[in-house]
Amino acid sequence: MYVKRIVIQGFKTYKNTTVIEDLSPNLNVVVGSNGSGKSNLFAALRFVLTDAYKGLRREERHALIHQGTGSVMSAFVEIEFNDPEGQMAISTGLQVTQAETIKVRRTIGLKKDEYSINGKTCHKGDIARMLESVGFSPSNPYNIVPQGRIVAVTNAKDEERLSLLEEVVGAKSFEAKLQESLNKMETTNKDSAKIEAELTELQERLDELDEERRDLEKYQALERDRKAFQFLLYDRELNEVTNSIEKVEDEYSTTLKSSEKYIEELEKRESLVADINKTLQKTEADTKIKEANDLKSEKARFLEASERKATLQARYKEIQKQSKEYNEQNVIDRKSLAIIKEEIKKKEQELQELTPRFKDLTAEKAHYKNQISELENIVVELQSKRGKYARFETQVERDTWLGAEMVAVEQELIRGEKELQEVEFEIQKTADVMAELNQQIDELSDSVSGPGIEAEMQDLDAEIDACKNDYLHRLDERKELWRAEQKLQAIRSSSSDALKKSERDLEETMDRGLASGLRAVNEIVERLKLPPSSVHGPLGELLKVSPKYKTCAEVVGGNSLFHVVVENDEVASILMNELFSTKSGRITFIPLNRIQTRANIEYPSNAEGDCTPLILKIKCDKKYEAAMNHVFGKTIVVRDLVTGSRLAKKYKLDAVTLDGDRANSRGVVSGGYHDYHKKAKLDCLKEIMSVKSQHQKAVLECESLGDQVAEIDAAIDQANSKLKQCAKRKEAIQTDAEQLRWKLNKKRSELILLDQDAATLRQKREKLKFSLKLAQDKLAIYGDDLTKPFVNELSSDENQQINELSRKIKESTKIFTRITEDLSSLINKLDNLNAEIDSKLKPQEKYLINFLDEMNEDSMAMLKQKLERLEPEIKDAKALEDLSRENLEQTRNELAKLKEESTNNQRILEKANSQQRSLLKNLEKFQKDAEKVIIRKTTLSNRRDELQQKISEIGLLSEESVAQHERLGSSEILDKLKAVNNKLSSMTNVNKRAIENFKRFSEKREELVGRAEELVSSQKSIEQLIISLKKQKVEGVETTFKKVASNFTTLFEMLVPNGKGQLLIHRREDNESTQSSKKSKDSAASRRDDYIGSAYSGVSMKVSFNSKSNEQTYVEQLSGGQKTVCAIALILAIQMVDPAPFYLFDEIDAALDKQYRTSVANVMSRLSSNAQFICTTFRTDLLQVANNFYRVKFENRVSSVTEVSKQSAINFIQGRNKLGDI
Amino acid sequence: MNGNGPLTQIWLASNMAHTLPKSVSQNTDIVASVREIAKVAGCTSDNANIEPVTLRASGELLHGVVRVYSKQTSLLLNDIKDTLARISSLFRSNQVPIT
Ligand SMILES: Nc1ncnc2c1ncn2[C@@H]1O[C@H](COP(=O)(O)OP(=O)(O)OP(=O)(O)O)[C@@H](O)[C@H]1O
Ligand SMILES: [Mg+2]
Repeated sequence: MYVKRIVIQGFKTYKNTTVIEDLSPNLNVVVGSNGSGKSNLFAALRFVLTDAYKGLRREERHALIHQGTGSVMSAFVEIEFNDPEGQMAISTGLQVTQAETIKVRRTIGLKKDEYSINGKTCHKGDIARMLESVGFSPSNPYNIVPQGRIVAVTNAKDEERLSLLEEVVGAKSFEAKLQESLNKMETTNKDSAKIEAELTELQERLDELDEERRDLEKYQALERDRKAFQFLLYDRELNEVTNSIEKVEDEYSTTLKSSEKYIEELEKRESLVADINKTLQKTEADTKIKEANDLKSEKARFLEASERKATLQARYKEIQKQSKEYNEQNVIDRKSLAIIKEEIKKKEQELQELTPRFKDLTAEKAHYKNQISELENIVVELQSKRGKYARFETQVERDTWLGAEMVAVEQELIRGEKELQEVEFEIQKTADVMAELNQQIDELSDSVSGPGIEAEMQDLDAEIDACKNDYLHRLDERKELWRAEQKLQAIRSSSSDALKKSERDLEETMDRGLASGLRAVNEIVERLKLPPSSVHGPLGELLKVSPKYKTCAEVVGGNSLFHVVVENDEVASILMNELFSTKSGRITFIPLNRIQTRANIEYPSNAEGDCTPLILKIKCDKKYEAAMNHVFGKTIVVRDLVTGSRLAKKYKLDAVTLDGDRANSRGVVSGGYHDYHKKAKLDCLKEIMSVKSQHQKAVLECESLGDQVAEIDAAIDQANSKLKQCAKRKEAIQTDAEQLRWKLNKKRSELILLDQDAATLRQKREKLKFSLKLAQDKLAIYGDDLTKPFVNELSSDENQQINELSRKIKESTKIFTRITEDLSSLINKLDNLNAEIDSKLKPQEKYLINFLDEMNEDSMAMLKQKLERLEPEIKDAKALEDLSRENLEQTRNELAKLKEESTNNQRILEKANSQQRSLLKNLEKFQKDAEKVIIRKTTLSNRRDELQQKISEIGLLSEESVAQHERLGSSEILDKLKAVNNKLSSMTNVNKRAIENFKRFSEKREELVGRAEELVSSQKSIEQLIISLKKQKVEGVETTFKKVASNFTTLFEMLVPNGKGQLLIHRREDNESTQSSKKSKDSAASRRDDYIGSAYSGVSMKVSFNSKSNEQTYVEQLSGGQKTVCAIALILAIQMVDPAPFYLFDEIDAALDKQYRTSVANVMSRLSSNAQFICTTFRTDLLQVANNFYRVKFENRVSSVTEVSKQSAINFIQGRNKLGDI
Repeated sequence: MNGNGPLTQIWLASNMAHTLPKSVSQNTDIVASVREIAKVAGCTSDNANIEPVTLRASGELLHGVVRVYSKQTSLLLNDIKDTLARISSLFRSNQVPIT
């Protein structure tokens, strides 16, 4: 162990944190100028490790803390020890984390002063003990030798040296411990004395206890007697009580039997009530359905029918009115037509009368006109003959001109004929076109209103009618279906209500987890779409059992009735996982593939007892047989429990009575009052099954109806579209006809135009013919003239002729004028007549005729047709209305009947209920009786239990003690008991636990006494040890002293080869004889007291420096340097015997000359292999042998330490010495 | 020395500044311990081969064993007192009559 690292801060000159690291475990030397802080470094170490700085006052602390610029308020010094074996750590008792090193730190402030080991605050004593345990005694003054203190060793008194030696041996601490031990022993001995006293008292107490024990034994004998008496009494009472219990049980069973009758009755009533309720519910549901659906629908239908009828009738009436109006109009029109016709006739007659005159006049006019023009022509001819030929001189001239004129006329003729031909052709062409047009018109009118088109139209109409009928029919059908659907929906909802109710009933028979589980199973099956054949449902649903065995099955099945049967374990695990993940209840599953058919179970033959296996009474599907066997297989039905339990035990089966009382193979019997009011699980399950099937049927029907409705919808759509198609086609045909009619009209007008053209052409032809005739006449005249001789002048004949002619012309003209006038007036008249006929009467007539035609043929027929058509419709509507009314009436009747039924049922129900109430009252009375009996029974059995308890409390009794008193009568026993009790009560003070306590405490005492004896022997051995240790101590001091003395001598010889040193020990007797020495001891009197048994009084040194043989001198007479050598020798000698881990020497070689310095350095170098040395020096001798070197510098009143090389340390010292030499 | 079995408890008893636990004192056989101490301290002559411990150490051991002894004594005393008290209480309760 050695000092490894030192950290100083704020201590004296070490203002800053100063770290001295990697100190050598051997010899370390510190150098530095005077006043640089070397001693302060040592002071710092002492500050931590020794008692030197103990109990500091405020000023002293102040002196330790650095003073100077910058305020330092606290200082600390930390020393880190190398402690690889953990030697130090273990002795502190503190938990040390770092085994390698121990850091000891002392921190000082103006107020505080604390120590810590490895950062943990601790007490100074802890550190002292720790250091001591590794051999560094804080009280040893020579481990750390301050500057100038080395001589103190040599100057010390003999006693001090002795104490140093004793210190080395450890005597001091031993003495202290010894003293402490002795003190402790003394106090302990006092305790021992006390122990003895207490033990005696204990013995006394025990004696008392012993006495009590004897009392107790007597008491117990009496007690035994008393118990015997009590037992006898109790036993007798017990017998009585048992008998009365049996009696009460008999009573109870009779009561039960009679109540059973009532219960049966009650049950019957209950089922009756349930039936009535069911029918009531059904009738109510029916009523509701009838009311909501049938009645409503019938009403609606009736309303519809009557409405339809009304509209039809109204239409019929309207049509009738229309036809009447038409007829009236017809008559009026006919009349006016007749009038008009008459008028026309009249006018035409008039016209005809006028026509011959007109013809005559016209002919006359033409005649006169021709005559006049002929005459005029002759006149002109004559005049022109004169005039014409007047310009000609000769005949030739005239003839030539005539010839030319004739040629011209001929040519004109030819041209006229040609033109005529053309006109004729034109006329012919027009006639052709007209014929063609006429044909076309015929055709068109044929197609507009021909029989073909009419037939087509009629067909279309018929088709449309058929479609319409079909459509309406379908609509009716759909309405019918809707009604049915509504009804079914109502049924379905009521059936689903019933299902829910049954499910609730079922749930009442089981606990909630099971119920929710069952529900969840159904949900899961639906959700996961598991095939219905994989989950079969609860076991109870799958079996059928006759009512007689229902209770048995129910009791035996128990909750197994709700175990869900599934196809295989896979399904079961799916369901189970699902149930687990949705946290919805627990269900037991019976996978059919896992159920093993039980080996044939042996059932008792009928001869052996009246019994039958329950499984034979349960019917089910073949595939569920194994499951049923699993649940019911081991059970037989018996007539009564006695045979049941016998058979059960014998055949290892379970037995059940018809009432549901059970006995199993282990002999356990269960049964008792069965709650008949509660719904049976099996009934509930059956109910659910039937309701479920009903519900499913309703749902199915609903679905099929929905399908039908959809079908009808489609049919309706189809009919509708067909109808539309027909209507479209009809419309198309009509538009076609319209177009054709328009075309026809156009053609007709065209024809009229052509007719006019033809007339014009004919006139033109007449004109041409006339002009041709004129030209021929002219030609004939010219020919005639040519043959005549040329005359220049008119003959008188001719003049005369002209005159004649002129006169004739004048006459003719006169007549012509008159005829013309007549004619024009006649024409006027004719024109008037014609106009009247053509523009007024004829159109009127035509209109009327047309109108009448239309009237008669189409409209009337149509109206009639309509009427005809309407009539059957009205009839149908009427029939329908009647039917609906009838239906309505019927429905109403039915409703009334239903209501009546329901009120009837209600009455019955009320009656049944009241009967049931009275029954229940009776039953209650019975139950009360039964309860009373039971209460009596309970009190009796309580008493019995009490007695049994008491008997068992009395505990085991010896036969003889009972038998001894057996023959005594109860009263005698009572007397005796009383006497015994009296005796016992006089002994109440007896300690019941005396025996036990006595035993316990005796044992305890023995143990205590043993321990006390042991302690006495311990004490003796310790005392022995103390004596021998004291002796050991003395011996130890002596041997140590011997060793130190011899070491001293050898060391001294090493240091002073020529001299001789000796260490002497003085015995006490020597000193006691001398007064002076005794007096000198007074100062240390207190210390001396500690040294009890010390045989020595002091240690002195005797040395000689120059000869081995010479008289040795005491150290007091030596020089300073010699003293130092002695001191060093002594210190090192002790070190060899009791090695301290490290030494701090501050300038121990200051007073030595070169020779001693060298030898001291050598010795220290040798010893440093076993212990660490830290020295300061101003000489090079020590440096030569040292391992590590440190230099202290002092700058700005602050010290710092640096590690330096050997050479630089030597250089520093030599430089300083030279300086000093100068 | 610290590790060598029989005296570890004694050594700790000496060094432990405060009260020593009951179990330590109850489980220690003082006579045997004393014999052992004498052996290591070099009092008995039969063990020359063993280097005797220092006086300081034997002082510690002595102190330790005395402490244990003292503890045992006080424990015993307490036990006896306790027993006595219990017996006395027994008598006291007897004064109440039992019916
Ligand atoms: N509390 C303090 N604060 C500041 N300086 C201090 C304090 N106490 C002492 N000193 C200074 O420390 C110096 C003494 O140093 P130290 O005794 O260590 O010198 P040294 O190196 O041993 O010299 P030498 O070689 O003469 O023995 C003095 O100068 C003194 O002023
Ligand atoms: Mg100094």
